[in-house]
This record gives sequence, C-alpha cells and structure tokens, in this order.
Amino acid sequence: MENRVLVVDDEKEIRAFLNKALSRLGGFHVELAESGEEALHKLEKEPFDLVLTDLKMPKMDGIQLITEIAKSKPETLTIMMTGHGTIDSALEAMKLGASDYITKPLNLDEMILRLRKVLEERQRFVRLKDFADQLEKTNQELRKIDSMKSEFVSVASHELRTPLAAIKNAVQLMLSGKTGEINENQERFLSMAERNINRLTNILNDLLNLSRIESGKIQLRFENIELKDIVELAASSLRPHADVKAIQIEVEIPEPLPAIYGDQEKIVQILTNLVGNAIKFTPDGGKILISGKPLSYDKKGGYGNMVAISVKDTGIGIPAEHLSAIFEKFHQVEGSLHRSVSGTGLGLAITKGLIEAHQGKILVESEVGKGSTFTFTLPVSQGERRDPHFRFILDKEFHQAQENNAPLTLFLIQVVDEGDEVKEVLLSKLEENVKQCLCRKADILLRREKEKILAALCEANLEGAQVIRQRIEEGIQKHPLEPGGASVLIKVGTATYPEEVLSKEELFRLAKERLGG
Amino acid sequence: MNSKKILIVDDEVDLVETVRFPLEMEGYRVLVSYNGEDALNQARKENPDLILLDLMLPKLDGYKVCRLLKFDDRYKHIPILMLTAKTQEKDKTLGMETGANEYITKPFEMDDLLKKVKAYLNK
Repeated sequence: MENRVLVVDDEKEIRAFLNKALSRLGGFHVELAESGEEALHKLEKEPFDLVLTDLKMPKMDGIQLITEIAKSKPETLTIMMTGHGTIDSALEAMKLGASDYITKPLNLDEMILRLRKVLEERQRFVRLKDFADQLEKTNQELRKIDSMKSEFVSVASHELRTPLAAIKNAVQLMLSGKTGEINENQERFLSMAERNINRLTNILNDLLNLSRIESGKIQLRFENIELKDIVELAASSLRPHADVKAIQIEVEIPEPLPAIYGDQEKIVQILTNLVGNAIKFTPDGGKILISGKPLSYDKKGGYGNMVAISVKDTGIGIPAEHLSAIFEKFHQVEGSLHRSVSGTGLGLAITKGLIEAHQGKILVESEVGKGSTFTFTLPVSQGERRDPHFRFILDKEFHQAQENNAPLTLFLIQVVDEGDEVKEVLLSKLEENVKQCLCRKADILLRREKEKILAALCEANLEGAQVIRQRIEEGIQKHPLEPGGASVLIKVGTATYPEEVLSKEELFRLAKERLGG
Repeated sequence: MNSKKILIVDDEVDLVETVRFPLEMEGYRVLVSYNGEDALNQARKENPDLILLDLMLPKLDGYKVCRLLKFDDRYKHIPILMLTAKTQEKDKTLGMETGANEYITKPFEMDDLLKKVKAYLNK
C-alpha cells in the first residue's frame, strides 16, 4: 500500500530533494506544499498519512501547522524538520502532537528510517483500532442478542403459564372426582400428567430464574442475617424429605460467627438446592452435614470478609471428569440412575449464580462412592447489629398456623420518638418487658433500631391478643423504662389470623396500619 | 344452597371454564368477565362476594380494576384474589400495593384456590 506523504517547506530545493528521494524509494506518493496554509488546504481536500514539515516558514510556522493538524486531522502523522539550533522547538512540536523530528541538514538514511518507523507504528495502531472496533461491534451485537434471549425467556415463560394452568386445572378436576368417577388406570395416567405439568412448571421457573440472574436483573434484598438460624430453618424444612430415606441432617455452626450480609430468601434457596441435591444423591441411611466457619483473611486472627458454608454428604459422589461441568446449565452426570427422578438440570447453575450475585464463590470436592462436599462463601455483615430475618420467621409461623388451624397474632410495638434518639438500652429493656407478657420466650422477632419497632408473634386469638396487649401496656406503666421514672410513650398495633386477616401480607399490613392510628 | 357470588375475570376462556366448574360444584354463583372494563362494570352492578382477577387483561388491566374497587368505600370490602402469570417479585409487590388480598401465580393448585376462596367467603 502506498503511503501518502505531504512535504511542507518554503525552500523549493528541499521540496524537490525530498520529492525525488522518496519517490525513488517507492511506496510513497508525495505531494508538496510551500506554506502551512497550502498544506492545510491540501489536507482539507484529501487525506494524508504523514506530513513532513519544516519549522521555520513565513506566516504559519511548523509548530502552528502541527498544532492545527493535531486539532483538525488527529489521524495524520506529523514529523518536524528542524535545524540543530532549534531542538527545543522540535521537542515542543512533539508535545503538541508530532510523532518525531529530524534534524537538518538531512541525513537521507536516518530520515527514511524514522519515516518508516513512524508509519509502521501507525499501521499497527490502525490495525489494533480496527480490531478493537470490531470487538466492540461484536460485543454490542452479543449484548443485544443476550437481552433478546432474556426477553424471550421471560415472555415465553409468561405465555406458557396460562395454558399450563388450564391443563393443570383440568387434570386436577378429573383427578378430584368432581367430573365423575375415574378408574385405576385413568387415575394412574392423570397423575402422570399432573406430575409432568409440575415438572414443566419447575423448568419454567428455573429458566426464568436463571435468565434473571444471567442478565443481572435479579434484585437482592440485602440484610444482616444470622447464619445459624437460617441454616437451621432450611434444614428443618428439608428434614421430612430426608426422613423418607432415613438420612440424617446435622448442623454444625460454631458460635460466635459473624452475621452475614445477603438476601435471606436467596440464601435459603441456595441451601435448599444444595441440601436437596445431597438428599437426592445419598443412599438410604446416609448423613448430611451443614457446617460453617469464618474465612480468616487477616493475620490478626480476626474474621475475614467472608464466611464459608459447606454441605457434605455421604452420597454416590461425582466422577472427577464431571466436576468442572456440574455448574453448567442442563449438565447431569450421564448414566446416573437419578436422571429420571432429578430436577431441571438448572439447580446448580442457579445456585452458582445466586452465590456470585452475593460476591461469593462455590467449589466442589467429591469422591465416587464416598460423597461430595459443596462449599460456598458469603460476605460477612459490616453492620453492627443483626436484623433477624423477620420475613422468614413470619412465613414459617404463618404457614404453621395455617396447617394447624391455630390462631396467630402479630404485635408491633413502636417507641414514640420525641426528638431524642432512643437508646438501644431502652429498646432492650422494652424487649425484656414485652417478653414477660408473651407466651413463649422466643417470640420477639425483630428489633429495628431505626424505626424503634419490636415485632412479636404469638399463638393467640383475638381475645387472647387483647389480654396480652393490655399486659404489655400495663407492664410499661408499672416499670418505667427510663431511670428518671418518666415513662416512654409506646404504640401497639396488632392483627390476628384468621379472625381479622387471611394472608401474611395482610397480617403485617393491618398491624402496621393500626400502629399509626 | 350457597348463594355467594364470585366474579371470575380472565381473558382465557379455557382457564375460566376450569375455575368456574369446581366453584359451581361448590354451589357458588359464578359471574364471568373477559376484560377489565366489563369486570369493573359487573363488580359495581352485581357487588360479588369475591373476585378472582387476572392481571393482563384487555381494555383495563387488573391492577387498575383492583385499585378502582379497593379505593372505593362501596366495594373495598370485596376480597380480590389476583390470579396471574406474572411471577416477578415486583409484580407481586405492585399487586399487594393496589390492595389485593392474595397474589396467586399460574399455574396453581386447584385445592389451594378452593380453600382460599372458602376462607375468604366464610370470614
């Protein structure tokens, strides 16, 4: 490829000399200009790869020309030709954007060497830039396709749900006998249909879940969580499944362990996935151990930034050649008898995505025939006091009340703020006070320092709730919280299931509403 | 004979039929709307004891129907159970904020739905 060179010099002899020398070399197309103005004019009309300019010229000098070119044609290279006495100007020219300088009188070999070098560098740069542009373009396209994929998954999932619901309803109606008696074979096959509808629903849910994780659209609700409580809760919800296979689930979390910072629901999902898998792949009578420990990063022996949680089983294990792939979508160990009973093939991909969304990592160790250990990390809370996972316990308690047909009353107790900060001590005292009035010691669920709220759940019906409420209010009056004797003003809001509300959202909403009034 | 009135709002005819059938078997009177505007009119005219409400509806979406009823003193007592294919947390939050009593995602367990309907109607 020919390089286009513009030679700018007010001396005709030098222009002619350079023209001849460069043309003879080949590979150069040379144009000449006798002033900076003429050079700019030519540059305006057609592009040049390189401008070789003299420093001292009447009117516009080399420095001005280079400044101008750097501004209007930054892609054009410039080389300054200067006498020995004006090196400073050459340096200034380079500061302003010139690629190099050569001294007069001109040494032809040196000049050509420098010219070639500068042009080569530029070519490399252009190639790199083209490459980068192309990459950027490809990236943009990929991003677009990726978001289209997420969009597609989301739309498809919604569009599939409604027909799926109609099928499920129809099958369940027939199974229920409401449409007339069915025989044994009909029941067998309708049950099969129902089972597979549920399987399909799980796949849909997992796909949507994963697509949200992958596209970064998943929203985590971070809060401080006590690891031990959450692990115990997850374990107890899975024990019924483990019991079927006589598998023991043990929890081993040393205290004190720093609170972790994460989304409670998602961490439960992570634990449920891992322990669920462990149950699935562990033979009858096996054991699963969930343990936690801090990862000490600092040398002072203090807690690091992360906590490690392990789920260890005595299961069938994973062949070494599959270990690296098990977190991939739809990967399942071939030849596994469990394929038919297992899930969607997305569980571990989701688990990994959820852990990474928490800035954590997951790894697996396994030995065939002995068992597997999945270990993942979660960040340690930087906050001072935990906020004990209110929603989770509310969920659990509410569910239990529903199952057992038992009443459940939620008490919200708020300290009315009169400008001064309510001290933590005060809230603790109030907590003690309230605890005296409740049926069970563990009933206090939440203390939110910021809102100065205590929340408590009690197995009490409307009448019982009235009594407890009275006891709380009387207790506060009898035992003033502040040393001075001035009693603190509190507000109590309650809601009772099932007499007043039927869902847990309503339970909370009503109690909160009544706090205000 | 149970004379409680239930309004089903959904633009999917098949789904409506599979929900209507067991409700009628339980002895409820069932009304049906296939779009949001008609749902609002029927709710105001018939004053049903409970509404099963889809969210993505022609003419007027379910959120709006719910809000218009729940913010109206004459109708806010009517329990509204949202039945929807929208599964995102933010959709649910929005649904509860408009005053729905329950947010149920499709597909659902027929038994659960019937139990919930019964519970709200016996309240």
